[in-house]
Amino acid sequence: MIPHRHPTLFSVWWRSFLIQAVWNMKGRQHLGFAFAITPWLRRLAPDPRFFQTALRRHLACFGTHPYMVNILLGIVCALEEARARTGRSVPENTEVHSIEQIKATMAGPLAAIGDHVIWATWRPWTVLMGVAIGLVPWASPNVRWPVAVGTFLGLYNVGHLVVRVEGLWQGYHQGTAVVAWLSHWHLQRIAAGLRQSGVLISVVLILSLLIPKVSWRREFFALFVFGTGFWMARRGRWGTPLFYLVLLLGFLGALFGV
Amino acid sequence: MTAWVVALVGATLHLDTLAVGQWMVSRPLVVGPCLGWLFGDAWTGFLIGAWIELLWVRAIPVGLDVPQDLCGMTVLATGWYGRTLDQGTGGVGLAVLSLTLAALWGPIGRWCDLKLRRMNLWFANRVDQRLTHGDNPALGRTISLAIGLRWLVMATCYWLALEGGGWVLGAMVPRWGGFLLGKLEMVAWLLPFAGLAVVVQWFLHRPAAGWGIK
Repeated sequence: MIPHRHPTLFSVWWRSFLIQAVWNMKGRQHLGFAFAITPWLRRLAPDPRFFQTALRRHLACFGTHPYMVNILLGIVCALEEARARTGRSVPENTEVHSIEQIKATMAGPLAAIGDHVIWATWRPWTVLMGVAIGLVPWASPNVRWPVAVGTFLGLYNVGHLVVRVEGLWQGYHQGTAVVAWLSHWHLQRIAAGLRQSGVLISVVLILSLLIPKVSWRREFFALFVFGTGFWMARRGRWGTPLFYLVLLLGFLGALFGV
Repeated sequence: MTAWVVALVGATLHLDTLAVGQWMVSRPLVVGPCLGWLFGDAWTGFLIGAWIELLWVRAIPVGLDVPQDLCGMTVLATGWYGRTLDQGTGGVGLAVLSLTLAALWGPIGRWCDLKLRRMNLWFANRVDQRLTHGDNPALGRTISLAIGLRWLVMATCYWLALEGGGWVLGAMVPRWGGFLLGKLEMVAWLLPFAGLAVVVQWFLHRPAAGWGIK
């Protein structure tokens, strides 16, 4: 008799927050994955010998996006359960032949989706919202910064938790058919919309920073810096080189009375 | 506020970048105001965080790429700013000066992160051996050990950097502060424009054209 699944599934979800704790060049997230799936395997195979065999299966090299891994954890939980109940590793109609193969096949595409939608779009967009709320002078700075930080963390983590919770749940209930569920989300279209709105928010923020009149020379200089920044970013020179260039330009500007 | 308190808080928040959770409490936009609040100037901490967020918005951990340590950069910039603030100097010019030094930490922090990831390899081999001998709880112990070691190493690195940089700033500000800080206020005004240029470029460029990994 296999014990009830929901508390164990919650335990797997909770442990998924440590998926990258022992990230290394050899196995990437393999130890984190094995750690997360441990309560589930223990539930399915209380005998230490079987448990150890099952655990060792999950110690192969594995790496994907740290949030999208929950989808794979859900799928693997369902497949391990099927294996424990029927003795077969995967349902009959599945073309691939083992849980390990499903993990290896799906990790790459899920990582690509996570990198594009979460790292490259959702996080910069929520950061931009936080920065905009903080920099636009709608209230005193002491009111603005907590609202800005709260907005960033709140917005970002709503998306983060939806991916973690829904990913595990749908992965467990739908198995490999979760791919169809993912495609219904139209993530490419959502990402494109966020990027376009991000450009719009940036333009509004630039205008709001220029509106409190300083002097036309300063405003022109700020637009020159914006253009230089855009040009450098296009050439891949963002971050440290751009910071030091702005430092030099600003210092010279102040020195020559802009 | 002593350097080791800032280092311990910074190292705890740093765990969120990779090892624990990834709730984004390690982002500069959160770390800056939190540490600034400890020093009694959360707003300047927020500004430091916002500058770093915008200018380094393209630093994302895709595949095997390890991005610069933005959390550490913010910890040091805010920490140095706050500690110099205790000496009676302040303003956004000082924040820019602190960030000028802290920006150097980005690649150093990445190097530390890479070393810690290499050390994790030793943990991985150790777990393999233990599991072969039937020691199943070794997995959980190793996870705790790796997190603890990362916390300890980063806290030590931040503490050393805070002490060293604090000494440099402490020597610089009384001598050249009057000349430098006023000029750097102009830089503080310009930084959001440069940062927003990076953001606009990032949102406009087609993802298929590359991820902009540096």
